[in-house]
Amino acid sequence: MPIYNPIIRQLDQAEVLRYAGLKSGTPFPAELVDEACMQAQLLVRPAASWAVYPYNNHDDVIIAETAVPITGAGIQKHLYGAQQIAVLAVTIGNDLEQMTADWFSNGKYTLALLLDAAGTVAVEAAADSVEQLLRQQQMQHGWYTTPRFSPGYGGWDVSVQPSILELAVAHQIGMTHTASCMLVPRKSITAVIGISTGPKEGPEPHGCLVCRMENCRIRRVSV
Amino acid sequence: MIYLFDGAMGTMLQQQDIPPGVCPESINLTHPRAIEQIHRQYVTSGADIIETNTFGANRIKLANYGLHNEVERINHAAVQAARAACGPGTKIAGSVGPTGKLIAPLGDLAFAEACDVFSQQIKALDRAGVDYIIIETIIDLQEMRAALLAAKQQSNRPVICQLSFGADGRTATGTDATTAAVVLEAMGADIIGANCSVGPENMVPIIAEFAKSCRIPISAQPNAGMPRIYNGCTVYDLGPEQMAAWVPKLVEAGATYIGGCCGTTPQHITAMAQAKTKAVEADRQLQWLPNTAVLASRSKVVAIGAGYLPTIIGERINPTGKKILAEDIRSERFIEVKKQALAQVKAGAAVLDVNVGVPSIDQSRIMKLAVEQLAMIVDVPLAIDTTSPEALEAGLQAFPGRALVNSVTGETERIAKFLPIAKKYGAALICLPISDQGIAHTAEERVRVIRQIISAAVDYGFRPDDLLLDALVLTVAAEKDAGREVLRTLRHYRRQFGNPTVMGLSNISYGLPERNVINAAFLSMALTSGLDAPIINPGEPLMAGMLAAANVISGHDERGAVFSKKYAGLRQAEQTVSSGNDTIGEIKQAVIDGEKERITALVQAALDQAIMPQTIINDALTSAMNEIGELFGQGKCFLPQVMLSAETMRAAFDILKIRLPQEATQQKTVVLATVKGDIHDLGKNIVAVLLANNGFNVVDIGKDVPAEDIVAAAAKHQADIIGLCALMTTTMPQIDHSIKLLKQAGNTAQVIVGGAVMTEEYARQAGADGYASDGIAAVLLAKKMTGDGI
Repeated sequence: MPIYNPIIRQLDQAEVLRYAGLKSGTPFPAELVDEACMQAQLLVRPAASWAVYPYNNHDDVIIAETAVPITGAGIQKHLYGAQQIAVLAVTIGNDLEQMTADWFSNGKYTLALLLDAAGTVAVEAAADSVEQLLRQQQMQHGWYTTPRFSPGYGGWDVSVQPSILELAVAHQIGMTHTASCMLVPRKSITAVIGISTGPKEGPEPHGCLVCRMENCRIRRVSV
Repeated sequence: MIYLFDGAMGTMLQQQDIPPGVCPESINLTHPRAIEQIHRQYVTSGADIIETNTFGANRIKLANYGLHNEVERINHAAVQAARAACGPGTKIAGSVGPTGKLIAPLGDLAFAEACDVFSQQIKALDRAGVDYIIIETIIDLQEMRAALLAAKQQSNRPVICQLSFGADGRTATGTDATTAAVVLEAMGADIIGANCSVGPENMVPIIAEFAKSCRIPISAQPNAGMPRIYNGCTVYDLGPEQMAAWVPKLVEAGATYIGGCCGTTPQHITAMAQAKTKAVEADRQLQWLPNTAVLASRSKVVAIGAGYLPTIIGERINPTGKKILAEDIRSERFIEVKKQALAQVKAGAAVLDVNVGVPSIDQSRIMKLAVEQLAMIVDVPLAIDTTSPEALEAGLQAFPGRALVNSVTGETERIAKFLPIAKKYGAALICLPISDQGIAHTAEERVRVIRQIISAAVDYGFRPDDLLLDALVLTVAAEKDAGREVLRTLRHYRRQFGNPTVMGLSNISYGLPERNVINAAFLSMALTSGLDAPIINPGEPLMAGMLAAANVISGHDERGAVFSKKYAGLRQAEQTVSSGNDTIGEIKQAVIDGEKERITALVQAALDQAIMPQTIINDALTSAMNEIGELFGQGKCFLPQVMLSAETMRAAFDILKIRLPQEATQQKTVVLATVKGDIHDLGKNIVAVLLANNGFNVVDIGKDVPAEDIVAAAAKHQADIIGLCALMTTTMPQIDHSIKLLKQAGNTAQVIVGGAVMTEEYARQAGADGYASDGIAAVLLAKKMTGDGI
């Protein structure tokens, strides 16, 4: 199964502030964001692992040694028409989380909050890189890919996490889950990408658009 | 002369009734005639060069079919089949495709292993008698470097290096055509090009970029348009005539080797053979001025020479005299190394010098690791700074770009050991005027030694502009003419050689006070004498300022635009600590604005004015937190600002605490926990900070806490309030369970619940006394429940 440790050079500071809860355009000391982003760059160890499986889109089942049914209207709709599914797992490791905890207990609340947000931006950026690589690889053979879709969003129950981790062969990058289906390390993402013979009509809604957390504090205003 | 390659092999095999799932390269053994037949069609169509059916014939790819032991046989049979189809004058290119794995640290394939895999295949192709080695469809520069290195070691045939670019003009791992051209030409590629991935239209600008970035011939083998799936097969949009129409444009952009990748058939090649007769070859010109050394990282190039802005080479990654850095290197953590790298690049370094010379370590291993880590975090070329040939090779091999060697001297042994390694990896060289006779002291002696080094380097195949000349800085406190000789040397270098010049400056001031001042003056004088690349600490303000100013004066920084951006408005009026009129008001505002640096002095000023600590707490701090709460509730203030205010408030408390140990009032206790199964605790931590700042005694018992432990802690600490947090739907039932156990145990404390997925309704059903949607809400609720808290 492919392993890819994507390069993360620049963290989008506006995104870091958004994830930290600051409304766009609000003035905030740049040196704090700079420091959190630099620390994040020092601490992240991005790693990704994925595998591609055939997909029975009639019965919504990922065909693998142990078949994995896809339940939930949102994800089923997202994967409609897909013939293959790429299942991916992405993490930035545990070091950043440890530093966040250290800073919090040392009274550096703001930096801790920003570092946590920078970790989120980093793991999203890592997942973007993987998605882009997969898209390029598939396009080379004439296949189209959907944006990624993660368990826990759009009504796709997180109880599927253990199966998804197994399909993505995530243990090779040190990812596991808790009994309550949370990912370990915490700054990690699993997702699926549908692979089909043609583009769907119109852009596929994803991100905040499919999320049911309507009162989320970082929900994009434009949604 | 324009040379024409053949078209696709895979597309043609699909039409030959080969059952699906068969290894395409195994057909060389099972149906050699079918392969020969396809080659013959291309030869008849007018192809000058045909490619062997060996794209996936390396042991990693063949292992997918259990054929990893058949590398030699398959490659040999493929060349035989091609040979049988050749017409008079037809040449054979042995096709080498990617392994399908990424090289470490981007992936899990070791560089040495990749070299070995490619070597095995290339050796087989070479022995079977190909005319060219063509490495193609590579998406990662480091994999191409491994394959090219293998090709140069295993074969004397010309090597064609073709990368696969996306529509954005970069390979999947971020390399653009200019960078690829610089790196691969220096490593000895004979022809460079692009194939697959994009159609001819998107390939034209890539070819044009190659054409102005190297001197070697260029090949272009696009797909026949963009692929799509039709009836279960991959098909391509461009017909033979449409594809042929792009041939003159690709040639005009700079290509002299033309062919087709996926979807290109013999009919396409026939049409392209016609089209090439009308194509006019490009008149190529390099994008850089003469006498320019060009270095490269994975994704960008840096030009060094008299015609360009001075290039800062950052000197800080050097453990000499730096204990923390030395320990960081020895422990292989590289946190300090990376920190220095980021800081220097931010301060303007365009190249980073990397020296890992810590006593009694395995320098080559450490150099490899350090270079790998640095190449992942910064996007600048590196200078490998070592006297060990093994460490030099480890560093150059690990760096996915064109590095600089710091340095080669005129000493016989250094020349013999360093030059072959540098040439192998296509590095540029810093040449230092030291010979077997020792350090050259006068400018004239230095010129003489440099002339010898240049002559030796040219004999090893270097071009003059691969060589950066170091003026050799000695200590002026020990040798009064040290500075003067350096400046004379720089002028001689410029006049007699014209090569880019480089040097580390700080040696000059050794043993003197205020070294920065000496260094800065020296930098200014050296730039005037012809220094192109100072090796300095770009974070040192005086040096940075001197360089920025020099760029304005020399006209590089037009009208001082860059300088102004950096320095305008830098000196702001110092803010007075307190006006003395309304210190309480100022403290309150400082907390609201999160002015942590100012708060200590302000609180001190208030105490000096004999304002009672309790008054400061009530009228300034608590009042500020109340206002922040209101602003937050109104959406006028946000979490990062609340945290900043919390830090400011804590700083104020820290001073006041000393003053009022006895005055501390009875605090209400809150026990906080994230429930069992839940490992997210950022939200809970924020609530803890805010409650503590508002005068509550907070006992935080952590995350993933079983209900039994919550009950025990609540009893032990005589909690007035219990705060429970759950982030996921999977852990929410633990909230219910915990509340149930608390009630069973007879605990009467008020329970507040919260967390991302929690709702008011859920909280009520679970039996909680309150629900808080965020930290501020939790504080307000807690105050309400306890009648203010303090």
